[in-house]
Amino acid sequence: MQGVEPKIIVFLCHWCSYEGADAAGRGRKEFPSGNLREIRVMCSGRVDPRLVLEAFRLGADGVLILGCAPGDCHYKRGNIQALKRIPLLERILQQNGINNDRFKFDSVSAGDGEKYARIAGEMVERLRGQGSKNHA
Amino acid sequence: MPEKPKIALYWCSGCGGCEESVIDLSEDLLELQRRADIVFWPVALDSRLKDLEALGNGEIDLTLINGAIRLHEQAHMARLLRRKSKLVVAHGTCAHLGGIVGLGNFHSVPEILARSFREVPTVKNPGGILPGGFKEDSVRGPKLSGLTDKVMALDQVIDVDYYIPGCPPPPELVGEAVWAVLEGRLPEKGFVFGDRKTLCHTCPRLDSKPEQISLKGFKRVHETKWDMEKCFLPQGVICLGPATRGGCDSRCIQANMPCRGCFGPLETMEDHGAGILSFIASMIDAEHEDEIRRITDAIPDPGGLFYRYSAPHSILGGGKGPRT
Amino acid sequence: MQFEPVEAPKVFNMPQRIGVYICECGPNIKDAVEMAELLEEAEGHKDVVLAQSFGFLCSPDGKEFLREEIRSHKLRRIVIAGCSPKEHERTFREILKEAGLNPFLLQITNIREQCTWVIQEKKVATEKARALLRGSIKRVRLHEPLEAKTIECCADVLVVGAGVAGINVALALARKNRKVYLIEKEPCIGGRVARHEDLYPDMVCASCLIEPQLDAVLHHDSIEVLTLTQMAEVKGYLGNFVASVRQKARFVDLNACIGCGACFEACPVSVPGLFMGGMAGRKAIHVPYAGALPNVALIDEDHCLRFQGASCRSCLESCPFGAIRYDETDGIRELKVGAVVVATGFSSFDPGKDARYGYGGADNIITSLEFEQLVNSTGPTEGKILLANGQPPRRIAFVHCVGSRTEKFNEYCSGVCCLYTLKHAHQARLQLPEAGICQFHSDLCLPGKESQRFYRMVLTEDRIRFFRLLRPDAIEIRKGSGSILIAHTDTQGELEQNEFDMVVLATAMESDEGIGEIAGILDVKLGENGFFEEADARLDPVSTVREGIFTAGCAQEPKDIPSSVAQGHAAAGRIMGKLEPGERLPLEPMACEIDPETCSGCLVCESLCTFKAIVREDCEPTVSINQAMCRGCGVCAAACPSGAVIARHFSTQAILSELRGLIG
Repeated sequence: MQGVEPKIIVFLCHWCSYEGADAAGRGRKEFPSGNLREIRVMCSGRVDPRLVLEAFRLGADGVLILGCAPGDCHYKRGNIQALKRIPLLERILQQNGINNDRFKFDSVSAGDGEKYARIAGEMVERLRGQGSKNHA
Repeated sequence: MPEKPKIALYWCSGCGGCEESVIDLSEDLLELQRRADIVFWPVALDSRLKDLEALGNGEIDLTLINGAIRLHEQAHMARLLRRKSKLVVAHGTCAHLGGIVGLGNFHSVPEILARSFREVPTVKNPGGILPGGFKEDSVRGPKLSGLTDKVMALDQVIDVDYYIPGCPPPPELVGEAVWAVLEGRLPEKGFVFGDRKTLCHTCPRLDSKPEQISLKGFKRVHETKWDMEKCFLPQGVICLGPATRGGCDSRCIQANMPCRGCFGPLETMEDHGAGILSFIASMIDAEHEDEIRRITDAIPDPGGLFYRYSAPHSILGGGKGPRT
Repeated sequence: MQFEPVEAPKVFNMPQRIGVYICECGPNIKDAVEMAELLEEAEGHKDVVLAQSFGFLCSPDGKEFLREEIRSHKLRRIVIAGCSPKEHERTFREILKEAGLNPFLLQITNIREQCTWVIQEKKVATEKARALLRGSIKRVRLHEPLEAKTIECCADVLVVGAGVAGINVALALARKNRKVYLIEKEPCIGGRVARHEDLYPDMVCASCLIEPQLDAVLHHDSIEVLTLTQMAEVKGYLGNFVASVRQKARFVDLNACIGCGACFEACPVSVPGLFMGGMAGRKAIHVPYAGALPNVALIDEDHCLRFQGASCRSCLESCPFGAIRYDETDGIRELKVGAVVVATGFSSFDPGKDARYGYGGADNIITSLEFEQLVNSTGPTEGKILLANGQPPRRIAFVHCVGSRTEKFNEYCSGVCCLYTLKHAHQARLQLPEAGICQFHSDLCLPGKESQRFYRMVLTEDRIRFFRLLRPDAIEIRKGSGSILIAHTDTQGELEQNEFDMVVLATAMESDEGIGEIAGILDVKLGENGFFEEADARLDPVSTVREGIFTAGCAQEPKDIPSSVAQGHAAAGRIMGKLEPGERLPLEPMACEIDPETCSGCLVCESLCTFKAIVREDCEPTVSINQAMCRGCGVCAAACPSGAVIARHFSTQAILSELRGLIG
């Protein structure tokens, strides 16, 4: 467990959201990047539930999975496969004491540094307000 | 006359089914009795703790421990038996993965005690008394062992050599493990008896499992009828066969019930529920979040369904216990 | 058992010898982090033999430095911390290769775009950079030396459909001497365009335009044309397809027959034409139409007396070239090709499906394709616009959007009908200077450089009257007494009725009626509108999701001739870029693989693979992944309930190791 500043694992897909995160960098957007730990995968569909569960077990305060927008997936439907897992994973996390503020799935297109900064910033703010992760 | 190998059996937080699986060795039990000395088996023999304590370290050749660790006393017994034994086998799903008892990890100990002894409608406990071990409600008389903070599988307390999965394990599997040891055919440490692949591989209904399964909804077993010859999944009934180790001879399938996952996952899938979640999600016939949610909301308790036997051994462990 | 990540692959016994290099990127990174702390972090890890910073690693000096470092320190794995891997991962992989190290034994850590560029406080930036570096070091230990494998491939191409799109695929490929099998289900080639008279907007003669291409296709050494031929089965993958095609019997030798017509004269069986009450019939032995290519006769089994049991030999006896072959049979041929292009064109909407158009209820209500036959000099009326009673019409109505732009049938606009309807009106005016000619439409779709001018000409010079409808289908056509009545609702909502003696319906372009079967044979998806689904609607409209299967022309969506030709060229271009005769095909090094020891044959992965790369094994209930078709997305790896998929370079163990470095 990390102290007051939440640490958020962000899964980014190589083709869209990773590029979007880079765009946020190139655009020098203001957002709490220090609280994020980005990890690259080829497709959001690669993120299997084990990775999310392990991230929380290791002590992450939040996990974000960011893929391509519907219809834009480089592998056609990988992001849809990722989406299909989300509602069940949310409930499993909840039953394990991790509330849904801590886990989100969204899309960020390649040029959308703005959206990346916003989504990440919102989660950090939300989790700062909640203090350290607990088993409520 | 050469000494017969010594065997011990013990039960922690179990239901007795694993003991039954030993009894169900039937005539082989007599053979076992002939070939080995059962030195400690409280459920069947007049075994005393002091007799166990009197044995030397490593004097017992093989100990089968079933049941999960839910009480401090059970943890203590597990450690004691470990010291006294050369080989320890986690016998049955509770010892292997935490079992049904492990579902307790979705709640805290105070919640469990309050529910059992105060809130259940059929309990009459006007004083709100809780069992011993808790200062606030200590009762005069013998102290009962307290609950551990969380349910644990056997290997979360002691070093385990082999595992016999199953709730209960098929007697054949118990026999296989015991004979292997008695005949010196020791597998590598950490070996889990049963198949190396999940249940689909040997399931009698595999031929009717289509390449594409697209479901608009899931049906619970009491909500529907199904074709008795065909795979459950395309019929909307959740069967955990794809994610569960085989080796049970598909007993439940043959009894026309879907697999509930009691053999747990393969070694390559460290979290049973994660493997189940992934393949269940892949069958959902929807591409929009609302529709996906609507379909999955029909599963009332995903945690319980996906981690029915393995919560303590899952990555998050059920959540309520303190993290390691 | 709790999960313990494998710290190092068992295969590699030698020490890891990791080198960590931090690019200063000028002041971008150097001034933004405590460099000493980062180096200390790196050095603190087991197997890291050295950690160093450098000014600009991507500069020629930097690259030389790296190459030297790898060689002199005998490094086995490299971590580079600097800008985004999207910038320079390729560059640095090359450097590793040049230094004798497998390019995949590299991990790039992004401490610029995702760190120093967006974090102001040095302390916070350093803390994040350290965590990212930890992740990379832990991960790189598990990287495997991946080989870029290759497989043999065939560069020949199967083109299905010898319309204008298919012909242009074939000719483009043949220019580079690629072998092309061009199959066509009809007895003649040229598709729809060859049956047109003139083309908008410049009224060029269609057959004059396409004849040279048809000739070229029939005579080119690299192109083998198979008429009366359709696909039966296609197995395999890019570079390695085996296509079985079924060729129907023509009963006439293609090489001997010159199309002299002696057999038509002799044939005793007349078959009435399908057009306008039997116009322009033919004989049982015939060529499809005057000028059809190849100019070779064929026997119609349904009408020929021999196939009804009689022993007629009229054609055989009259043929001066001995070209008749009564004993020809249907045959199957197996073609080994590297790619398949589907250019099967379109079908016309059947206006009989919508009672409002009155089609089939009265003579002289015809479709635009039928009108095209009327104006065709080789058609049933030799180019004269005539009613069923043989008289020229006096009042002609052209109706737009029949079956298009309506939720009931096809929501899309077919794109070409407005223009060809203007053309038809123009042709009608040229032939019938006094006739009343009207158009019923709700909008006008007129893209193209010359189209507006064409429209203006038709509107002003041709004196065509345009009635604007409230909605595309706000119209009712029925038989009157001795005429055809059209009632329509105008844009003011007013109802108006007019009388005509000929009505021409501009029907929607739909996907070819056989497209479902073709999609099934090729295992390629159809989109919502029944046309082939593209790999990417904007950036790759001629590829399907299945590698090696392409589409061109109206099989992909309604379009005009220039666009069909362009797509034909595009498909040829894509193929030439992928398949080179004599070269081997490179495979995706990060493709996934199945561990056959663990796979239970549950088929969950197979159902998920968009690229159809996962196949069942024959004898065992397990699956394997075709390395030529796998794109390495890893969706199967995430879904496998047994953990039986090995996702190369993005294995679960590697990602989990990275996670351990990032947190904890």
